Amino acid sequence: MAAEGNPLDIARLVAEHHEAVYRYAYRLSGTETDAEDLTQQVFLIACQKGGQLRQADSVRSWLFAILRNCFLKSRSKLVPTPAGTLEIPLENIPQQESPPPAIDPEQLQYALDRLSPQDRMILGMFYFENLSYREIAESLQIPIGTVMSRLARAKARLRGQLFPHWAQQVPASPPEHPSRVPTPLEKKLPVRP
Amino acid sequence: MASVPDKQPFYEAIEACRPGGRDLADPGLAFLADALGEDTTLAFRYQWSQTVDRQIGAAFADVAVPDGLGDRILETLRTALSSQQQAETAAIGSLEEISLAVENLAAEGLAGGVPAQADFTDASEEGVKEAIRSPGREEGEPEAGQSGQERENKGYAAAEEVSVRTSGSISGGKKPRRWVLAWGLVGAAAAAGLLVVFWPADSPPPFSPAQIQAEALQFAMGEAEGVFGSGQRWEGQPGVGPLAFSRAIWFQGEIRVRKVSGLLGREGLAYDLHSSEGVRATLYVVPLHQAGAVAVEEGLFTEPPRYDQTARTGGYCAAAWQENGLLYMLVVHRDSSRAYYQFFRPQVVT
Repeated sequence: MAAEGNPLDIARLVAEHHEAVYRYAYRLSGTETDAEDLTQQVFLIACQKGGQLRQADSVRSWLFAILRNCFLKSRSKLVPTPAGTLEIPLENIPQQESPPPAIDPEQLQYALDRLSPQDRMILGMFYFENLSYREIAESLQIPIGTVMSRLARAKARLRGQLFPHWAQQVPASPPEHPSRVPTPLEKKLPVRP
Repeated sequence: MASVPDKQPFYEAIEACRPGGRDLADPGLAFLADALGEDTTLAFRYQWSQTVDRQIGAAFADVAVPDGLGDRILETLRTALSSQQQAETAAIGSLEEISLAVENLAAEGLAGGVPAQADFTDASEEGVKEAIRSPGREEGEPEAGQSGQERENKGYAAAEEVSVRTSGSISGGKKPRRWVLAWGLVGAAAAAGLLVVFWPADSPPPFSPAQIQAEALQFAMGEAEGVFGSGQRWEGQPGVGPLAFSRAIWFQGEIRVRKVSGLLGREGLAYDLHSSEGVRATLYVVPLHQAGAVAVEEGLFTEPPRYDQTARTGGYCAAAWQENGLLYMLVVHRDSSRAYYQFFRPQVVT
């Protein structure tokens, strides 16, 4: 199965990592079909380029890096990131202590789908890969300050999608029903089989 | 709001902290750790961000994995690697055998003495014809009617071409006739060797339609980022000329064309299309039959297939069909029926 000169045990690689790669791919792409295609592509490339892997204990990071490249490449026309402001409005954060609303996985995907591929990618690196801002900077080969700005903006946009009522105006008080915040488009959430 | 810009670095630092608080120990975030003990607003914001991020992180990983995905991945890998090895074996094996045959024949021809006159007969003559056939000439273009002198001249030209490729040491200019003839003989023998090498005695199994589409997908995805659209602007007529643009494609935007090699072991052209809707596609055209290349199995579509008959992966989809002795492979850089069908007239795809 493995390509010539490829030290990887591909069957084992697939068995151990395909679920994580698929989950990540789903969050990036937003559909099951695309996620499965991306996952297959990741392992195909891994199989062909297994010789490039230097450290066996970084297999998952390597697969995730391949996935990110495949994802960006699959978005042939990248959605431009809105210019926006670099400031994160303080008003978007409740001024008094309140439990954050619960986040449904479908609701999260609905919000992610409305972000640019670049935003989704850096959020994936932060939330899914659990990378620090330094590791993200190293991986993307961009300055640390740029990572912090991009990350903050991407998170602000994601929260703006998840909690639109906080993004609209200054709340006088925390939400009355903070445990579940219905979004205006909630009824249009895609239904997964 | 005057104080907000001042706090921007703190806000960004808060957002850079992963849930769990460990990042506050990072020297680069020490200023934030200090500020959190003094500024209750910042401290509240930090706590709120940590809590929300914890929830988002949990939701991020909450994705159901389809049943049998691992098996499907392995099956795809087997198919892809099998077809890739098939193509590589054909391409690499052919080149090695050709080089070896040419070297052997050259050595034998020179060691055995040089005939005073070239006598192109039987297989040798056919080999020379094959060697000197210009790429632009259509299959079946008549060669009858050429005078013996014309044929001999072509033989010389071929001989020189082969000699340069073989030894790399012979320069142009006037050469003694016997050397020209000697190299002509070498060329003829090499071409005859080609016929022997590629005689279908132990040729690999032909490409199936599915393998062709998979090969096209892999080829397109393997192309470097800047290659798309890097060719010359094309303004020809579909169906006209060698490696012509397909008549089945309906596209009104700018088309750029470039050469490609190695696709299914063949050389051909790639027409890059960028639709007004922002969808990219590349139409690859290679000869359906080419000496030295793995054959194509019967049953290939004779017109563009339906979307559900295409190969799709990684956000790409690929279709393959034959048309006037040419093999067309359209790779759309987006995987959706809408994106695919916009490159065809509605009635073309059945």
